[in-house]
Amino acid sequence: MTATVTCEPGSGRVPPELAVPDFDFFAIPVPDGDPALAWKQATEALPPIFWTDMNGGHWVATRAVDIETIQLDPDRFSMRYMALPKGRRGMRSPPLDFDPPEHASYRAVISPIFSPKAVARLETNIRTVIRDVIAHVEPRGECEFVDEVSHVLPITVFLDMMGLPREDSDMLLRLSALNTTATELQVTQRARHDMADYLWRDVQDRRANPKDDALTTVVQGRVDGRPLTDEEIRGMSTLLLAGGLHTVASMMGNIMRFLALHPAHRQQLVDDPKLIPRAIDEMIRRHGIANTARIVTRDFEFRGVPLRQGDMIQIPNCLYGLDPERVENPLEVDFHRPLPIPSAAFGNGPHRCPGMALGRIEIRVLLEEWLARIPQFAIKPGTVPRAAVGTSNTMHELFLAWTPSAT
Amino acid sequence: MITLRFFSPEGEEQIVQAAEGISVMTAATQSCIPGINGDCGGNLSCATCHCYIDAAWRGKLAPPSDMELAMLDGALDVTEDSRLTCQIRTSAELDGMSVRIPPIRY
Repeated sequence: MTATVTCEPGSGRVPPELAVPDFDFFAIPVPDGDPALAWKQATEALPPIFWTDMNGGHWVATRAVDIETIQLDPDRFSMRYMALPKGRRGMRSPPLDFDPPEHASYRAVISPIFSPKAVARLETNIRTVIRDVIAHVEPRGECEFVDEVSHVLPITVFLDMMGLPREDSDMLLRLSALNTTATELQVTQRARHDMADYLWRDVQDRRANPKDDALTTVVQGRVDGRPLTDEEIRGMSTLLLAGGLHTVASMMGNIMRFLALHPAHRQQLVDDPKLIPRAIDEMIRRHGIANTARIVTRDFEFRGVPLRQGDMIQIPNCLYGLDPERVENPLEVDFHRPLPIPSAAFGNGPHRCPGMALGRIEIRVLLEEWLARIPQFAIKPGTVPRAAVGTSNTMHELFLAWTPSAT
Repeated sequence: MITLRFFSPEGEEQIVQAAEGISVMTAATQSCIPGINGDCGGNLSCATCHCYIDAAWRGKLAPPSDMELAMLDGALDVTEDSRLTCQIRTSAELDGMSVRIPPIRY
């Protein structure tokens, strides 16, 4: 992977003790498929907030207290640009890259798609999809979990929600991969526009023929009493597509890798499936996914660091859950950790992930169904889980093996 | 600061110290209380901060607006104790209030 070379003047005015000029988050080595651990190891000896010239030049905030402050303070840390390198998407994606108060009007358009009632209605479909996938792989005694399981579920759920054909999943997954992992702006912007172009035919269809699906909700959406513009519809529908594919799939990969390596933890869930929701929160804390950023809105000093208007500052949210000042023994996974389990994995404040309940339900149903059918499994001997860091921490390959049940 | 007592669906108590004048939802999400998501940021557009307030405390609150009642229609497990916590402002009068969290469906 090549880094972008659009270095802005940066390190020249950064205090030398805060400069780590060649820190490239896309190149953090992930030797054993644990990107959150790799982030911690790559940053723990560095200053709490440091500057790198890579990927357009940006700050990185690595401590929970700062990550939280930045997430909760859109006046100083705006969402207007929140993906690296700056300008990654090449289109605005409301409500994600809008700040309050504008943000709320857009958020109100998509909120019904994720209302508690709406998400509860999806559970039966999610369970059917998961059962089919597990029935397909179980007799073989092994699978490559990422391609065969974790990528199938979110895309199928998404396509069903949006009222789009399941046959389109391979093509969309390819675009989603570029959207998450590519570093060149031309490639990431092209992928985003290709997604929007793909959705556009159906957008026009829903204008003429409204249906009971999420795409219709967006197409018919109104902000401040007016219909959405074409550009807003492109941005929002593409965001719905991009937001829930690689993120959910990677979290599933991280969780299944963890359970494959920790039989005692796995057995707790087999013995007591009611523990699964709480265990999911704990595993999400340990394996945060998103590596978003904010753009600084004015010159000011933050924790002694001279920030300038226009600076990008990255907040790798996995580091929140791994900060010993916020979580005792943060590397240890304890399904009985006292509540509330601290996590920034879904963001905090007004931009908290709207798909949080949906993502969790997908993971919960996966674990309920998988552990009922395949209670014992391990990393396939001779293989090593392959993961990488990008705009999200992505699991690329995870071979699992088990003894198939007698048929 | 006032004290709010959140009770998980299983009855586990979590104490939160909250500033006065913020919403109960904000107090809960800033402390990552499970089951109170506040997805829309307190803009009456998601119903993910739905909780139960017992009658004894409910009497100290302004009654729900029509918009709140409409949003509660998108929530699950609604009872006569149901409120959206983004619509409840913390005040000295609510010091010690119990907030029960509905079943978590994820």
